[in-house]
Amino acid sequence: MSPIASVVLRNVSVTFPMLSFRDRSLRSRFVNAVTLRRKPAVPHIVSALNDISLDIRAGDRLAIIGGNGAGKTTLLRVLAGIYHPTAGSVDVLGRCLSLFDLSAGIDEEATGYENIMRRGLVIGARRSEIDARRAAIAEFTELGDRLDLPLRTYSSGMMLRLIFAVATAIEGEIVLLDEWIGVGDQQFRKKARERLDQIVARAGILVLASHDIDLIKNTCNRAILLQQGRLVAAGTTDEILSQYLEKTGK
Amino acid sequence: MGSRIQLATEEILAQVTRPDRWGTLAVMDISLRYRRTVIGPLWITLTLGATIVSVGSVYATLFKQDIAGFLPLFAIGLVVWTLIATTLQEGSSIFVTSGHLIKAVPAPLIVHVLQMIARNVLILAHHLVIVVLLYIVLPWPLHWTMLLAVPGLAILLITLLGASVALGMLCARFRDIGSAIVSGLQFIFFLTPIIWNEDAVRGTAFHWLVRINPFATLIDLVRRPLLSQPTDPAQWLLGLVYAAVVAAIGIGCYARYRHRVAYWL
Repeated sequence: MSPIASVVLRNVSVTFPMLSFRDRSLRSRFVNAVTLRRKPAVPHIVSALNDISLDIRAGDRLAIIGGNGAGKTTLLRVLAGIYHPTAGSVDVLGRCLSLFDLSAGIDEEATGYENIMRRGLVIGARRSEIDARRAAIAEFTELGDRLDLPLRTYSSGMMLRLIFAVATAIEGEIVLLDEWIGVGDQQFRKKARERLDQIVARAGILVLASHDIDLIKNTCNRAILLQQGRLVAAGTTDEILSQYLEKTGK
Repeated sequence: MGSRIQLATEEILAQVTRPDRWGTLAVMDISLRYRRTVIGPLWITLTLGATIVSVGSVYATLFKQDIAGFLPLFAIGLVVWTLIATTLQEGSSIFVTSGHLIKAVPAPLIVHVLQMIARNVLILAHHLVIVVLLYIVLPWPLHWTMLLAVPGLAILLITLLGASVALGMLCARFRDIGSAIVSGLQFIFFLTPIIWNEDAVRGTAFHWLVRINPFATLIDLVRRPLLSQPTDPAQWLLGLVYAAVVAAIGIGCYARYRHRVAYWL
């Protein structure tokens, strides 16, 4: 376990411009300006996260709980450094491993081995690092010679194996998960589960956004509850879960 | 604002000097094109070569030009123009087409632009085959000043990098500009001495339009050295000014909007 990992969020807010078709058009802006037509000043802004402060320290297994549209994925993206908050500050110490959207960077025409390189580079690994892990990744996929074939010839299960193997081959101190990843057939699912458990065990910090109550209970020791972009409660997993279940009336 | 510019510049330079990611991915992009068809990007070279020979001969006859002089001029001009036009087109949609990636994995935005430019430079290298073949058939004198094409290309690439960043961000925000850029490029193509010789308009009022056309200058900085023709120092200065101005605009946009792009996608 890495002791240096830490995440500090101070008054983080994220607002999205909701760009309608008209807002996306420079021409209509131009026409409006020239004809002096004033649009009603409706701010097309959606506040996705609102004034969130959060300390995550090494050893924390944090669950993000909340209904759909509560801001769970947005918060994960902020932690990953994909969204830079419109206000507030984010300080992340440690390498982030974001395990969502695993297929990004994958090319269907490229072979399995090439995709190992592609995905590896895309998530910020160095060439030498990927070359060093190539054999281990290939072994984990159990795809053997099929790795020399283009990805479009794979079944969806095979493709998931490959994607999962590459995504989890690079280590990080801070692991971000948007729902647990379940892949492949029974036997591979077990293996994937073990790999994920290992990663989680090794990680300094785990942040998991999920709706799966049992999973959260088994994995996390802390939880936060999000509601419409606001952090409404933080505490131990059991406290927050019971609060959440009460609210949703289950 | 000053420190933001500095941070942006540092981020760009850090990625430019680390071709590990974008260089490898660009080479892989090209090798994928070879996978799809046996001769890969050479298909475009072939089409380009056919255009150069056919259109070149027709225009040389129409304008009563010496074919041995006109064909190399047209060939190099068109090859460099192809680099400019494809880069600007792909550049203006770069953040939209990489949207899935941008929203899935954190990375400095500039890597997407660098990968696209590296890929187009590799394609340019394929097209240079045409120029070499032309040289074998219709040799023109060689001079050491040919090497000046390298700094000429560097100036062009810096300009394209800056323009791609700025246009890419603009087009991510306003989606109706992309098509305007495509038609604008067609228009510029005819106003730039590629398919016609600058000498043909010398002394006319139209000539000053060529002189202030940045595309004409930038193409000349690569074309004239390759043809072993002397380049006016004023042209070099102008090229440097264009590159500096466009790069400054690119850095400015990058500093101001690089953290906003993910929200626009």
